[in-house]
Amino acid sequence: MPDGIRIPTLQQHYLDAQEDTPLPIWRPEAYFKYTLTAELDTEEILRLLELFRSCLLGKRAVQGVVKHTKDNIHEFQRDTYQLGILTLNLGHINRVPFIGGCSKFPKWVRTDINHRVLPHLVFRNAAHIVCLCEASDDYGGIAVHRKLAKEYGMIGMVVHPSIQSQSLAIFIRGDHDVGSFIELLGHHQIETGNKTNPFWILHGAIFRLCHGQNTSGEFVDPSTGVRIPKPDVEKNVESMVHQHCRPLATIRWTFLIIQFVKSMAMMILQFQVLMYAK
Amino acid sequence: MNPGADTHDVRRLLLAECRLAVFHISSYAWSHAYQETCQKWLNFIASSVEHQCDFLSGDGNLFAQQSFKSDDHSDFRTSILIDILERFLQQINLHRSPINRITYNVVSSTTAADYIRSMSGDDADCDSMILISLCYGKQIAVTEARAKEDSASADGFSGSAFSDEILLNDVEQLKHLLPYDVGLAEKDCAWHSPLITFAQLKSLKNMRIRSRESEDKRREKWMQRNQGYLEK
Repeated sequence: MPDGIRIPTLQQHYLDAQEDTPLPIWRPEAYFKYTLTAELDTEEILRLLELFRSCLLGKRAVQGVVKHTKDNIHEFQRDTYQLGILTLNLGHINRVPFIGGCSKFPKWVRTDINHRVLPHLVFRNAAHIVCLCEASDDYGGIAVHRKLAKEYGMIGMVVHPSIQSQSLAIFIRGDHDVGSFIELLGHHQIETGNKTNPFWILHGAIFRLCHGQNTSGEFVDPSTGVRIPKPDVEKNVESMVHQHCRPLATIRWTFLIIQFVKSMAMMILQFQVLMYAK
Repeated sequence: MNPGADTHDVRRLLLAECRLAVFHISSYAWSHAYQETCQKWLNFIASSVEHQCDFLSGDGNLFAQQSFKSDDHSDFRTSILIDILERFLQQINLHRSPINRITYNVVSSTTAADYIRSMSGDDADCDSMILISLCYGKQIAVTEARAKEDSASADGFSGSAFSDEILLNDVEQLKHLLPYDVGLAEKDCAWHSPLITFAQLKSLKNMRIRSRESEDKRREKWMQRNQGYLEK
């Protein structure tokens, strides 16, 4: 690394310092030991957090070819032959980061939940679908990072169990505006049946995921595989993917609560209209 | 365009929608509820097949690493989760025509080096995140490919359900990440290696989606080569 630079930039880390072969991964000294004489300044700290958060993208974080965000969501709403799936179990998602494996970040990093690293790993990657085990923790789990998901052009669903196991979550590239959706088809929460002190053994959820509409303005010619401008054809409504009109699995109580809240809101609204009329 | 297909949905892996099961099996269950967990896993995969799930993904803990408690060495391909899945699909395939059979493929977050070590019976640091793909032949390309195959199952023997009809390409580099790379404490053991996988149909293996510009460039290149051959 050039003199005076303690924390490399993404460019220096993922492109300049790497060899042509994919392995081994080069790592700066600050990754292993924090014996720097002077404290890291704010810019260096933010740069280090960016390095941590980009580790699933690698050099593509610099090249910018697969960095999905809400701004370029329409570029990725197009057909692909491949489907990328990321399977994660990172433990408690809101864990405080460390420098060099043991040194603490300054207090302003530790106390602000927006300066975490692990939630970014869920969204900052090249996958179309992300499956997350252990999606909950004492700080709200992954669900508190809804804005982050939106920022990276993803929608998700977190399934909380009524047993003692951790929550599961799933995320897909897309947005409700372009027709992407997630449905819960089945929920399996299983505890031991023949123990004096039952404990959970399996937690599973079955999802239906729709990628949404093609808004890129391009179609793939099925005979040649070449992307062509969108032809002027009418939408085939009969064969398009439809969302079910009501929740499907194990969320009967949630559904009833929503119905109750809806009816209460209607009553309040009617009452207000009556008062206004008087 | 196929008149029966919708032209406005995004298709990945030739599907506008996919179904995916996420699971997490307790590590405590390996030593205290092995048999019951195996039974429940069977129920779970039966439910997943009933819902036509294309992928099963999650943390199988020791169930995704070993076959039996007494085994010293196993690997994710012969683990009890896959063993049960294999036997379940074999039974289903016995009652299906070859063209409608269900096949599976699997990848794990275990590094290649550790997988080889475990295969040869040495101690290996295996990881437990797995991704299983189930192929029902939903895509026309798969059905066509199956129709061209010579089948050994016409006489009732269906063989192994394992197949690479769906190719699973996992990224090896991410399996080598250390706690330092993600800013965790060096003794942090509460996380598993990320498993990123790109699924692709074998029948589309050598096919590429190209932009108009790259297709023109490719054609031009081949025309130049052909011209060169003619001149020779």
